[in-house]
Amino acid sequence: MSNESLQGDRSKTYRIMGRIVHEDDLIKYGLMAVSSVAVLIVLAIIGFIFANSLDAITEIGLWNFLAGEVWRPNRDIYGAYPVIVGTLLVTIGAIVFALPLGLGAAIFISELAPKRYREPLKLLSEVFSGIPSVVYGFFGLVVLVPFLLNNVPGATQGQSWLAGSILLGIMALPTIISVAEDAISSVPKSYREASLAMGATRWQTTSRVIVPAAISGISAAAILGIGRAMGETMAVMMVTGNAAIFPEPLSNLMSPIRTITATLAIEMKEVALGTTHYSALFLLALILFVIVLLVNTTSRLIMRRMKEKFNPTKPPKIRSEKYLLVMERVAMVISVIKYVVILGIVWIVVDLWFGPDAALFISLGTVALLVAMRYMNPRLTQVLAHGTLTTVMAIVLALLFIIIYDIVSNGLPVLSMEFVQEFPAQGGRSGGIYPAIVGTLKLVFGTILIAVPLGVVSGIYLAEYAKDTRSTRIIRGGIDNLAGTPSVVFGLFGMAAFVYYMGFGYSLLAGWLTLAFLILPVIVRTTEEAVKRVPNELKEASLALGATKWETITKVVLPAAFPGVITGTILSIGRAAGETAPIMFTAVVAFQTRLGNGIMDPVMALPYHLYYLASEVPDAYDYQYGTALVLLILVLSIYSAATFLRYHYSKKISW
Amino acid sequence: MDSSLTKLIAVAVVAALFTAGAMTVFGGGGSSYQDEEILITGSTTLNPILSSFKEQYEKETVGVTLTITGGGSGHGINSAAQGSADIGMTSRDVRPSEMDAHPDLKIHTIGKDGVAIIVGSNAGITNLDRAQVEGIFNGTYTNWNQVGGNDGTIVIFNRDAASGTRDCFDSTVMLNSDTVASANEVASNGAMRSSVNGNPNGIGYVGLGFIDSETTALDIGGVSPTVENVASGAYEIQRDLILVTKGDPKGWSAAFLEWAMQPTAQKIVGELGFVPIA
Repeated sequence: MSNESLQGDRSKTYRIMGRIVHEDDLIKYGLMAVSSVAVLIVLAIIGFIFANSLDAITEIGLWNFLAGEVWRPNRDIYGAYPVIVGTLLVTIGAIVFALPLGLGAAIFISELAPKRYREPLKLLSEVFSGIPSVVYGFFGLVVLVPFLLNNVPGATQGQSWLAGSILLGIMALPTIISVAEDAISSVPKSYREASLAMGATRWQTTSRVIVPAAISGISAAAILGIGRAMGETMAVMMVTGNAAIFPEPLSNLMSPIRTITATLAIEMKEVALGTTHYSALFLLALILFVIVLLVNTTSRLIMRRMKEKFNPTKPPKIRSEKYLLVMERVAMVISVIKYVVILGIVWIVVDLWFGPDAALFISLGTVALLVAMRYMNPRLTQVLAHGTLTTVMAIVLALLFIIIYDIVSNGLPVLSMEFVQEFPAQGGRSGGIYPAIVGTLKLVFGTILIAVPLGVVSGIYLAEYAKDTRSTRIIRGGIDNLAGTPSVVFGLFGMAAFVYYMGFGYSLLAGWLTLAFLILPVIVRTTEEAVKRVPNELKEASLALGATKWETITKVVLPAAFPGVITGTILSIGRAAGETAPIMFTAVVAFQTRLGNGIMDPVMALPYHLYYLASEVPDAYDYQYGTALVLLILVLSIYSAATFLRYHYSKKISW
Repeated sequence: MDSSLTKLIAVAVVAALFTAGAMTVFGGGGSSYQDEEILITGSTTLNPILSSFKEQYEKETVGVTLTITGGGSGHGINSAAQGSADIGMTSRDVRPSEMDAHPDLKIHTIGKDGVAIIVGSNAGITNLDRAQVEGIFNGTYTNWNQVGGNDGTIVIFNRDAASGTRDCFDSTVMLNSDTVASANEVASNGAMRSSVNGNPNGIGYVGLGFIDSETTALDIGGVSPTVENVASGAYEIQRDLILVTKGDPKGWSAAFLEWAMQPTAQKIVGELGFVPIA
């Protein structure tokens, strides 16, 4: 987008240290400096976490830590192997649960749904991402865990790998649906038209042309979903049982399991500063950070390849016959592997409920059906496939409905003016949640104040000035990595850097900084997107009238991009309001009888208050639901505001 | 100067004013009066007690604010010893190593807590002796019928390694062995209670205050986990709730600690399900 020839003539020059400098260059370097903050933050996170994990590395040894099979901190034994395996297993389970549902819903939305239902369905699936993680965890604990215990034959407990995977799967759904839907609808129209013109049915077109064409985008969706599931903290901690063991046998879905994030959230709270245990937890965080980094980098590479495919910059390579033959074999092997994996998964799940005989029968049947569908009458196949897709969409909507209904129906009786206006009493069992509401608003307010200026400036820089040089690639990489960093890692970083190193203590300020870094990438990205979407003609017209580049940006581009920027800001407000893990080690206290005086005082906050009520306070069952409902209403209304704005402007402005 | 640059400065000024304005609005009284602050940090178990103390004490004593933060027992002891907090909270005994490192630590016991062994609805027992509980947690007994109960595979719920309740359980029950690795771990008393209540074959342990009508708390060696039995020492799975200061408490802290031993404060300790000492 940045184009030297577009530089206006009125651009002023200054003489600095004997050299003539363009005003535009000054602005450019200024913006670049601000944008590099993201890189500094990533480096600071790595630095602080690494520094704090050094003790563990020297005292335990990296290999002993990674390969040790026992995690028993009260005996000073720190083996992270079962915890790492647990993280991977829960994540795999989550993706197996979420991918078919998410992909099915995405295909339904973009290929099957009548046009006027498309936007509403997309919005509904985004509501999932507006529900705070601690609310999911609470739902999992009171609804999902007892359900599994009572319904899985032979289950001795509900807290399990399966419970964690289902809950994380639900939480990964919005990511998968929106990215996959984007990928599918970005397949050029000509593909679909060509296929239909050749006489293929709609389903044949979808399954053999559209989906294969969008496959890299769909893989990226899956991988982003994996990244999301892996970094999730509060929900997974409340439902997996947290035993640091390997399931026995490894396919035992009802075994308790422990993840890295849960270990951090559970043990960080009470661990003594400066001990080996403290340091070992930071080392765990470092490992998580590295794993998630790898996962997200992979998805970025795949997405870049997809872009290249539809907008090629190089002519396609001519392949030799031999190469094509080999690729055909590879494709066959992959498709066999695909069936084996499906068979295995169906087996494990059916076996859990109905025993091995049924498992054998049903899994063979499933594969037979999948193979048979290739030879069936295309019309019949289409009916079957579309029926399945519709069912999948219905399941997704039902999941959403169940969660919201449970919270609303149980929380509504508690809501009253006193509940939102009074201070808590009796340790949280009576009175109200006023300081928690005010605390959450305070947290969000300062966070936005810090993150929005930084984020908008970085976004403008990336969209208007950044060329594909090494330094801008580093900045972009920094922002992407920040976006993928698990929120609990932000929490640990905030605690090490602000609470202890800078000596802020548990304070509003420490919470602001931690949350601001967390939401920064969202604002940068939405700003960049919004600025890029402003048509070139508009900019050219402004420049042609003699405006400088900076004038064009401030007077033409920014006003036009304003709705996009506001949407990004509101979305990140919702994110900041619902997060627990980043503030529980930096800013919140459980109980206040009067509001704090300034930014060095700690606050109460809704998500943490819910967690605190659910875990530390006896007889506060009603109040838990009440708090959950208030939090849900707050966050969802913020999201609806963003959605409304986006919708409003997309209708009003058309280029 | 370019008009856009002027505008940028104007925006910055407005933003700064806005911030300052918001600070005053949100800051309540702002800097018009400043309370004496007593900084208290440490065990999350003691958080509810100190929070209720705060509620009452600030009502009775105008001009004093208690600021209470978590961080764990170890953190509480360290903070008090190093002077970064006025008072540290710990729900486990101060370890000899900590006493050696900070010989000037003063201990103020403000109450006791009993740890009750709770079981699910299918266990079919009401009494175990200490060794049997240890046998269940270390994996010697895996079915309730091995300790005189119904047929059912025992499901163990343990607390996280950093918890003071776990520390108490380990040091009074698990005398000769470790808990099996397959035990579930939960992060709090509340999570423990709902886990065990929700599982017919579950076993776990909670502070006395968390026993409710749905929970089955076992007698240990024939002694019930009640406030009276903890106070008299007959029920042995118990711990002290301790506040520590660096040297003898001075000024506002001294007044507060004295207050904490008075009937008003001790009544609060009792109301929250802990055991008063006075």
